[in-house]
Amino acid sequence: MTKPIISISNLSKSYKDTNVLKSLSWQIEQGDIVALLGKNGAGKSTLLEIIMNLREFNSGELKLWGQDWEFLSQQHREQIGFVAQDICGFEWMKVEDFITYLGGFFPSWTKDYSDQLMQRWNMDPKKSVADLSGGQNQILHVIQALSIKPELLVLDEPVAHLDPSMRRQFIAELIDLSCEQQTTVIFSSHIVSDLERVANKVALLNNGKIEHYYDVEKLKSSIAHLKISSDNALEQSAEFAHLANWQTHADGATATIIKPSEQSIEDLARLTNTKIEVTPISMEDWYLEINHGTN
Amino acid sequence: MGQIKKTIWFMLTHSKVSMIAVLTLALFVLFAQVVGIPEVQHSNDKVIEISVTLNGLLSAFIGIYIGAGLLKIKQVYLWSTNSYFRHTVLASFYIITGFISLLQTWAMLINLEEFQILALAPFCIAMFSAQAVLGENYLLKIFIPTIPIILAQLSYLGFDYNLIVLCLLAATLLLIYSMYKSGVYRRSSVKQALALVTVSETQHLNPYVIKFNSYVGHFFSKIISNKKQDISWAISLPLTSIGIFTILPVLLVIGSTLLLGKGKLPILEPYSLMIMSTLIISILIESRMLLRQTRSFAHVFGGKNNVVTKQKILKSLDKNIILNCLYFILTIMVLGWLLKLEMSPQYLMIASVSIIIIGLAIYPLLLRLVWVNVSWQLVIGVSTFAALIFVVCRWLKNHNLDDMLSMEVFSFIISMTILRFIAKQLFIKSSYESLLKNR
Repeated sequence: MTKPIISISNLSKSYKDTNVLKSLSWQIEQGDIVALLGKNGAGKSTLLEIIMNLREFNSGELKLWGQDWEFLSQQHREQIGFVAQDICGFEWMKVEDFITYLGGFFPSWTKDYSDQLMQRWNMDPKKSVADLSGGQNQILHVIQALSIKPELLVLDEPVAHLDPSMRRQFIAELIDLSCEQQTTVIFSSHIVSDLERVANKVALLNNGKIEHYYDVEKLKSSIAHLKISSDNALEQSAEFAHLANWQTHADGATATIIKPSEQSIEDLARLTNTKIEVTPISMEDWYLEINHGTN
Repeated sequence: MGQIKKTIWFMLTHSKVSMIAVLTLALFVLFAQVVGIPEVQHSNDKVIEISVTLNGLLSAFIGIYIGAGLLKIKQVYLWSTNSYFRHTVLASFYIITGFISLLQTWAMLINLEEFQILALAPFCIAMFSAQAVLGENYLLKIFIPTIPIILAQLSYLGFDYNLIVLCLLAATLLLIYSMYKSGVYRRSSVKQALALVTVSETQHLNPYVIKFNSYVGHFFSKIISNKKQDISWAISLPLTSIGIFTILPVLLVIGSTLLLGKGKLPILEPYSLMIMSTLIISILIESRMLLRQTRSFAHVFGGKNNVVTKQKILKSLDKNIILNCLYFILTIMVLGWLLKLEMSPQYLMIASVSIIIIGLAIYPLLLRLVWVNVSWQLVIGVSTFAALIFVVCRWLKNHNLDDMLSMEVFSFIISMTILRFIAKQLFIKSSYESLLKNR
């Protein structure tokens, strides 16, 4: 096990009467690309901004590279890139001025690399930031965050305004960055299919806690989607304990089971006296099933 | 009637910060006319001149404010499809503007020896100045509001002012008729419309402000992107950072003074100082809006709870406030001297420095507040700032300026130093999260 780059323990955050984060504990290791999932209002942005020291928390502990923010070395501080959810500002600058100006705060920033990124993303450096579309503006902020070659990259909904081809390119950049420099990336998104392509770990924030934190591969094997064929509609079997979801159809049923094993599937086949087919599950299916379960 | 009441309420409250500013000005103008002018022995002509000036200024602000409310309602598609909706909105606009103007008419009549048609001018001025926001294009936005000023200039050519006001009333009736007839639906987005109306009320800056700043910013781009971690370009616009922001208020002060006739009224000093105080507030509101831009690099600076970032913010704002205020007052003094305007340079300079000191002492407290919504803290903070300036300027006016080594001056400096220390500590102790909040 590698050393955690971010270590959170018993962190709580509340706004007036609402407890957004409740004794949340989480550890993120170096080189991980972590997808943070959660419903709207689950507290993803709050958590990411707490990690970025932009929000205070009520209790608990947050350490980056084993240090509190207060004592974090200058070198480490300058190795963190951040893209906020509601990107705005600097409308009066040209794209190249924006990149250079913000790059000035990070010693690892180089003009050559940011020029390369701008070229790869077809970003016109002479264009005014005010003239960029929502998606282009998002790309600009992502380029700025990538151009400092960060060790830790925190991205809050970085692909929300991007078209599918741009999202693919973004994912490729993240993978490159992670492979080349062992960059640790945490990003939140609602486009679960994209997360599946890039993330090696996925975390689900629910009820103020990281309810699930899995390796993507392990995650897929933690749940199975079953097609149960029968001549008539099948009702849910009350005796089977691993069911997360059951839907009755005219020709049988579909079911989702948690922690599937050959034994449990055989048990279900025996109970229902049917033929069972296991179909592969995507991360989106997993997310929907888990949310269905938590509902 | 219910719809009219609701529309009037919306027009009055659509922008709370501006509403407080206009109400404060209205109270000041009414107070000055009811209490201030009768106390001073002036000739009848002088009284009329002061009364028209004060009410004209107030009407212009009221027209723009209520007009901005109407502009927001015009965004609704019903404006072009439903004549009942349009007429209800317009009736509300005329009722509320007419009611406020009626109060002004009453206040004017207190100082006039007999009823004069001139007392109806505030309503006309409000109607015309509303076109500064309602005008369909730039030409109309600029031309229509200046019609009352152009007509007023006819008095210098010997025209009777009753005749001028009659012309103004006729023009106002034409304007009202054209507003009723026109169902032109403004297709600009609500965001653009809001940005057009005011800078401080939205999180988005006025597109023209951005454009103007772009020209300046591109010109200075080499300095801006010099990689020295200069935070000031993130919390202020280029016009403010460089000090060119002062051009507009300078033009406002000099233009108004010249329009009123140089040397006729000693208005340059109080007017300049009043505008300079609002200049400080404007710099503050602008920075408060732009603080969110620091999110992508605030973590780079050290200290607990972003202390270093906050110190850098204060340092940049100190520089901007001092620079802009000094540019402003020096330009006023030079132009005033060139145009031979009535003023006391010594008083202007000392009062300006005092206002800068008060501003620097109190602004860290005001910077903690959210300016989009009106709060008690905001009202108390701004009132304290205004009251301090008023007391100090009044004291200076009645004091021998050659003797500035008095106990009072010493106490003022000590108390402002203490206020600055407390305000700075409170600002630094405030959470960064609250500073990024702008809703």
